[in-house]
Amino acid sequence: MKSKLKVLRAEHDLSQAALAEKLEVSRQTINAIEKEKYDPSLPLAFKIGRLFGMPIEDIFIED
Amino acid sequence: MKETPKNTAEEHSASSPHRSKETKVALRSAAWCLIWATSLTLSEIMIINQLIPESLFWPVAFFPAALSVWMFYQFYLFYVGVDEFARKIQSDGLVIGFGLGMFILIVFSCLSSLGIPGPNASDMLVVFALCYVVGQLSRTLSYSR
Repeated sequence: MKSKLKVLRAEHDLSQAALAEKLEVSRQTINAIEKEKYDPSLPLAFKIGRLFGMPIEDIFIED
Repeated sequence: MKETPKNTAEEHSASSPHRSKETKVALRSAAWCLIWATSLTLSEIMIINQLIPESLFWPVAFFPAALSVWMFYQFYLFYVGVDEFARKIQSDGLVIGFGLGMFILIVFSCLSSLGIPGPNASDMLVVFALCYVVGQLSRTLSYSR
């Protein structure tokens, strides 16, 4: 799954570690999502959506 | 809900209670694995070398088995409490490790029909422990590439 997480993170001036802390996951999780090696769980996707004030379908795009 | 952009080093270095709890559980699980492995080794040494009275053979032999229940419970706590990506690596690694372990045992089993001695219970423990490590490493490396 493609994601706009890296772009959103940059727009909000957040490092991977800072975003990970806000989402209560590891930095590796954020890195894997950005590299499109890992698809987040639905609860995590909603958490990301809430954090950036966007619906999840605008952040994650199916390949 | 827009978050205020923050990207300071202080913010990142601030200890997160969530992450530190995870680390504590992971370390506790690893510590119990070591304690269990040590108890198993000592138990075997004491029994094989007859360092204890014969009446204590059974309790000493079964002590590591009883301890293993607690060790697996600690591993379970680690597994369910860990971050979801780390849990995926654990799951993938466990499947690979189990498959690899079974494959090795099947090969041993086939060889035993040719007269080559098969593995005993201790050998199987080592085989599965090593396969678990191989599984974890392979998945960690594949995701970090």
